Amino acid sequence: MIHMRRRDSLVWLAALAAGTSFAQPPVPAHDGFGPVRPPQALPPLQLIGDDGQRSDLASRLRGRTTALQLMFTGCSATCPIQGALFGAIAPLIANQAETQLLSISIDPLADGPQALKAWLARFGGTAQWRAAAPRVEDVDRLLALLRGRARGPDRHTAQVYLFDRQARLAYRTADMPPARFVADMLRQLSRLT
Amino acid sequence: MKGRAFVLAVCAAAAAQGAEPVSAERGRQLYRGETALVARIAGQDFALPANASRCANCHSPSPSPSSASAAALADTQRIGPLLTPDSLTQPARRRGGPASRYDSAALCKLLRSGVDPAHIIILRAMPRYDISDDDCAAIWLHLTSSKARP
Repeated sequence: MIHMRRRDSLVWLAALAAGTSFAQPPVPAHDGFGPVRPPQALPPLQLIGDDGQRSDLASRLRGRTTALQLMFTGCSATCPIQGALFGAIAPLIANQAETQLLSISIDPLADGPQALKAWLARFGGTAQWRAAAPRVEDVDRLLALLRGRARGPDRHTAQVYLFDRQARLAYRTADMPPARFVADMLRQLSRLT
Repeated sequence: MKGRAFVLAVCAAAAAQGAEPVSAERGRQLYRGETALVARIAGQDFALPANASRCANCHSPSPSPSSASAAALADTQRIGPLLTPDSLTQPARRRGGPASRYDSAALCKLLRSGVDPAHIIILRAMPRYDISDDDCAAIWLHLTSSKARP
């Protein structure tokens, strides 16, 4: 299943390189994951980073390819696995300065810069892997934009959202994708956009 | 009965080999992540760190709640089923399958392969464990001990 998806992804990336996909009408992602056609631009969305800096999400993503995940530091179930996943991806992209990992909390009331910094440290955060939280009033908007809402106490999916260098959402992975798959997709996305 | 015989056999084998003794206490340590378990998510290509593979993360986020309200809060944050002697050993329908119940061998099979006693594959978010017979038996002892609190 994952290999089939990978093949589909490569076809999609080739189409992206040829510049043909985006001329087609929007097609919803299949089963909640897969290519986003056309890539989706982001509305303004303010973040506070683990370094305490305020920034706009799109400006934070622009110029680099990004793997983004949803999490919150008080989540004990899937979020530690997601932290481990990004911890496994980080060394795979260490030699690619144009790529980055971003963990975004859906619990901004609890997840200030200190909590985010401590969470990153638990899983081996690097200069290429940062965390941030949106404003409380933007959480629902962010979940809707990514289609990241899930039932259950964690309230978010364990998908990885891939953004191109123009800060556009280009791909939604399945829940908890293999680390190497994400690293490969980032590498190929950065070559093509 | 079959489960108890299995646990006794494992205890005897562990004693013979000088391995860590099979005990409910060791099971408790494994369950809470005080002793690390080796695990990965099915289809993943890396082993999970200890803080992501412990059973308590999903089955009982707050193993020692300080109050009734803390226990209630912990229950709302639990994504896996609560594991008690009754919930494991009494026949129950699981994930739409026929009624089934666990014994220690069934628990080991589930931990290693993700296949439950009704032959249904559990959610992928549950890690698959590279666990020895001894450690498996210890977790079973911990979970089914009448004094156990997951």
